[in-house]
Amino acid sequence: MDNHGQIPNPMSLSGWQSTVMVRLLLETVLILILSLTIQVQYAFGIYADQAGINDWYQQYIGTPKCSFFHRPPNRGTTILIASESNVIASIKPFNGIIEWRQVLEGEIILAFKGHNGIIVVIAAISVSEHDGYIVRLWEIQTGFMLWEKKIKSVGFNQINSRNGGEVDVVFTADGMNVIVLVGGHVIVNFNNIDGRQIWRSDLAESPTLLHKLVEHNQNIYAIGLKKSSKFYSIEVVTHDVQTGVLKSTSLSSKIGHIKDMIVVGGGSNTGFIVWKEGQYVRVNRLGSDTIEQSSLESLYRNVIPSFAGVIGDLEFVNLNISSRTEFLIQAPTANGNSAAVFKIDLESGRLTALYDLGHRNSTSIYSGALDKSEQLIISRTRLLSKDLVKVEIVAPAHRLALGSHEISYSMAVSGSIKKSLLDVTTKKNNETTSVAYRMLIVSDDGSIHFFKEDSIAWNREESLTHATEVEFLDLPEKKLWTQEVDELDEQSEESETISPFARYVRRLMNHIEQLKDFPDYLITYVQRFATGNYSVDPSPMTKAKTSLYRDTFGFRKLLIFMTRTKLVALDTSNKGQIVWSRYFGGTISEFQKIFVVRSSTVKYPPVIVAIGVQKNLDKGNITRLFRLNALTGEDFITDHEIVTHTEDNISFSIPTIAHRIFKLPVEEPDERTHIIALLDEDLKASSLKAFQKFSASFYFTLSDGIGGKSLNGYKVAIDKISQPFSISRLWKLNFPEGNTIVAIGHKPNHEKVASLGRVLGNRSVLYKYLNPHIVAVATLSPSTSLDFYLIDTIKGSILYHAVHDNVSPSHPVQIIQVENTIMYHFWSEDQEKQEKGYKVVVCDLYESEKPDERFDNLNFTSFANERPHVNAQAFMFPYGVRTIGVTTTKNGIPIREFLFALDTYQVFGLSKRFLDPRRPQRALTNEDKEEMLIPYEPTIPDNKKFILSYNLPIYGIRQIATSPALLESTSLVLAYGLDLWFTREAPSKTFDVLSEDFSKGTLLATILGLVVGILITKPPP
Amino acid sequence: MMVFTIRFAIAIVILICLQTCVLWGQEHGESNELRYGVYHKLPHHSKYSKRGEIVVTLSRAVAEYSNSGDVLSINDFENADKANNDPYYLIKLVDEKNPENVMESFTKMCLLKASKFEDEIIIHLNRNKVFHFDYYTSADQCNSTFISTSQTADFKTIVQIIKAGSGTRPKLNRALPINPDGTVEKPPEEKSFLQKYWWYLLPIVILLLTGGPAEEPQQQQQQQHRGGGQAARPARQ
Repeated sequence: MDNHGQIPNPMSLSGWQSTVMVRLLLETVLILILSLTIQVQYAFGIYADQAGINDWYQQYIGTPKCSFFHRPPNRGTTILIASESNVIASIKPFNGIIEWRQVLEGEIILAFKGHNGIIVVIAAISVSEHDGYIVRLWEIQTGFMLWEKKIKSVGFNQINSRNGGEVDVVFTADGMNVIVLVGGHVIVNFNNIDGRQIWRSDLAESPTLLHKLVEHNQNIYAIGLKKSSKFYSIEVVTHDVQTGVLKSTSLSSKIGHIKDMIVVGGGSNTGFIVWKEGQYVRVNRLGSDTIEQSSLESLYRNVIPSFAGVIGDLEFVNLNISSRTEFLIQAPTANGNSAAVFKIDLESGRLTALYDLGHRNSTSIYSGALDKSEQLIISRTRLLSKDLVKVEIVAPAHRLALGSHEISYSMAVSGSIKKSLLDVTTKKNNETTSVAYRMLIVSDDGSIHFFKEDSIAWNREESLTHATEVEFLDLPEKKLWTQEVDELDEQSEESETISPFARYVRRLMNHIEQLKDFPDYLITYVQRFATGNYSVDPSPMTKAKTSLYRDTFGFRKLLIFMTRTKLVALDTSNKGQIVWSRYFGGTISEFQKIFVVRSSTVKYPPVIVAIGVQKNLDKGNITRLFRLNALTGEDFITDHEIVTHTEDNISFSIPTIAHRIFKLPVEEPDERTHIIALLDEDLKASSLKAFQKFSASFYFTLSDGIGGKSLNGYKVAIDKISQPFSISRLWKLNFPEGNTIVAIGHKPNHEKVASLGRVLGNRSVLYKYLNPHIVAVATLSPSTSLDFYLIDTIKGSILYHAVHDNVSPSHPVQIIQVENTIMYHFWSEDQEKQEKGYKVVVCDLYESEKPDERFDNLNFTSFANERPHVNAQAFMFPYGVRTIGVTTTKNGIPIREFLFALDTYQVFGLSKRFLDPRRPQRALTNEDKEEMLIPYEPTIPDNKKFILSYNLPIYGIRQIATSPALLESTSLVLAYGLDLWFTREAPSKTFDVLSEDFSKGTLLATILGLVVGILITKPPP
Repeated sequence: MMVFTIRFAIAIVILICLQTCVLWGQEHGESNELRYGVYHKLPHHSKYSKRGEIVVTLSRAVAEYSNSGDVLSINDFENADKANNDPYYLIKLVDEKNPENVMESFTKMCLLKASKFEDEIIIHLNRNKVFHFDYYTSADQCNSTFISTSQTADFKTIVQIIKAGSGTRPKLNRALPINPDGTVEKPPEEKSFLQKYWWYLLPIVILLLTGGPAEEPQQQQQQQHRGGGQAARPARQ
């Protein structure tokens, strides 16, 4: 103390008091901070809380096949959908969220009908010996199944040839029975309550193929067509609902095509068959033989004026409205189409025209609905332009146009409109009728849109259920200011013209400009530090979610999905929100492949190439290549192309189908894009640019894929400079007679090997055999033996060949390759040795059996006779597997984790430590412990902790794709098929991030304590 | 004596029969041989020409190569290099019994020269049927300074046979503990109950032998005392 023992004067006393006050204040603050940080710590560490933080999940239902609005008496309306992905679902019209869904895997939905709170679904199954149809009754409100009955196969071969034409279902008017027609020949009557079969009528011997069922007045009419020479004639088979007694009548009729016939009515009204025959439209009342007819000519001239300009055939449009007898006829005209609403008069059974919908310039989609007063309302939906849809609502009975709405809808994103489903409510105010409508739209790309009045209420991107491939796209870093103005790229002459002072001012201004983001930055930084939530990026640039920049740890990427005719880009860090999507249906029939040809760099935008084929019978097939800016989805045009840019050269096209497409590991120098080589069906190779130099070392292999019997190795001949290049075969591998390929190994896109060898417990090294051209192939012989090959694709040499006996062909075989490890999964029937069940075999390839031994060659070449030492081990696996993925990290340092898509709709992550051929079959020695080996066990443990997808059901997984994050420990994982599931997985735990239970509070408190301690103990001034 | 002669004659007949059987067996074994013609094609040749023959003896899993057919001169190989900038040496095996069964492979011309025509054919067998072969040269790097001492291309070919191994299976049997040196650890010998626990029984036997009926009340007391002991508790870990 500097008072040197003197008595303190009053002034110095107050100084001392103030010091005490400061101390007290500091202590209080310290205690406050401590208690706060302790609170923060307690809020974490609960496992269930972590669900949905690092991962996101999106449920899909698929493109609707059949759908209807269901309006229960006391609850809100729901939309019921049966989809092409064989899902039945109930959707809320309010927001498009799924209320419930049922996935019918391995089945094909053929018929779907609702009645009084229940739906009946008929699905076909074709699993070898279990062929047949399944009839199920579901409760609409809950999605629970009431009963399920199987109808044994009857003429089953017809199922696949038609899309459910010969399957129909009808409820009786009293709601007591469900009558089902399957296979065009068999009619079965089931009791609605318990699914009991009341009668079954098998007409398999009859030449008539039945198409449609109608019920009226305790009679079931089955309407079918009988082929007689050139035409079909109509046959009506009548059954009594109760007894099943049968009567068959034949109508004198000549029909060219099934489309020329329509069946309306039924239920509470009489049913009618309407068909077109020559110049007449004829109508038959079901249950009678009388046929009424009207002349088409008089129809054109007198009744429907807009049909005067019709140039093609009339087409019936069934509105499918319960027992109503109204229907629509549309016809193409020279510049659009015309349509009119007709009705069969219940009394006379004659065709009457209700309303002429008039002529419009573009093709329209129609749908009908009943309002509360059972009045029929019809909608006509058509595209006005590329960005506008027009919906017209009419009440044909009153010949009233009720409304017309224009809705902005992008054809470039979704394509044209394929189907519409209308729901209306009308209100009558004095004399005027107002209508409120909503409409479900299915567009050409397979997605769903919901129109409400003048806008789109919601969309569901169901086109993603058709995704065939996905690419992860790294986002660019936020540009540094110097790069933005290209200061580094400045020419020296240019630099000289700018004075140093001006340059200084420019930078200073820029820094001041950036300073306004500082408070936000500080807040986010503190937040991130306190909560440990690293998904929050403190840099102010990425704060705006709309700008696409990489986050600190590289968790944010774009997922670019390739569906049948569309590209969709999702943002991984925004729960999979769509960033852009583009529809290509007009120019291609189907996409084949997608590549990222230029990854994100600071100066250049990333570029993707999507390759699709247009199947055109007249002009031959055309393969088209689209080059897009991967961040926006817009066409990518290089600088020197801008000058010559026209509409035509947006896509490159080649007049053939690409048999195989390769992305070559060489870059084209000007634009720094990768080169793509296409191999056409006549086996001629085409490549874009700068291919010649690389072609000397370009070997490739072709096979017929799964089901093939051979592999062939080729080389591009560079004897001429002009394209396309010709190729020559160098080797051919015919698998033993009768063997067919059942699986081909695939590698993850990004594969980096951190270490050349594996360090053993005694510090010796087993060197990995890292042949980049190795491919694993599994073939199955008729004698049910599985042959597993490792083949060098340059030389065509078989490096390893092993045979497993008693392997069942009914289960798929899966192979995955990564680094020097190859793993395969199959079903073994070996009952004798008690090995019946799923097996996985893991093979690790080393340069030598002995440690510290390498091949003589320093440079690897496929031409050297150097075979790997294969160290293999087999395990029993607890589940069936649909596909296998493997984690990939930036440098490949963490241990690999294999990701299995299980039959139980889950993702199972198993560390390589369990699938290690070096697991010793003896007590662990000290060296084994050093190597961190686990003792061998013949079965893989069915540990629930290995299920990465916790309780989420991820249906229909077709592929598990992985991509590295910037954090070495973490791999990004995407499972897709029907549903999408994305997560971050750290196979060796997050060793490069502070763990969540790291006590930041203690650290802060210690620092603060030290600071305070220094403050207190420091000598007073 | 007569009997002895007859016996001798029978023995000889049996021996001859046996010998014939063995010879027939050998002949039969030889018919298990597969013959393959080895054909090759240089880049400037339009057709394959015969180079040699491979005989595979299945019973012994051995194969031998013999040079036959055309002998190519070194100049042929030199010309090939000049005429073509894509110099590959193509080779195929043709089943002599079934000429449709053709297997194809290749190597680089320069490798063949660098290895002085020392090459290796690896034949893959599957259920006693040849279905593929790998072709390698002894050198795997092209050496431009190759000077031949001979005027003809004399192939020195080694043929090897590889059979498919049987796939790995899970070891479902209970694994025997193995010492780190690889020897099986011997389980300790099983001992009978008496052998193991005789010393527990010993005091009881002694008690029985030495004790009399007078000690009964004392024992009862002891039992009561034991009954009032502590309740069992779960062991703490």
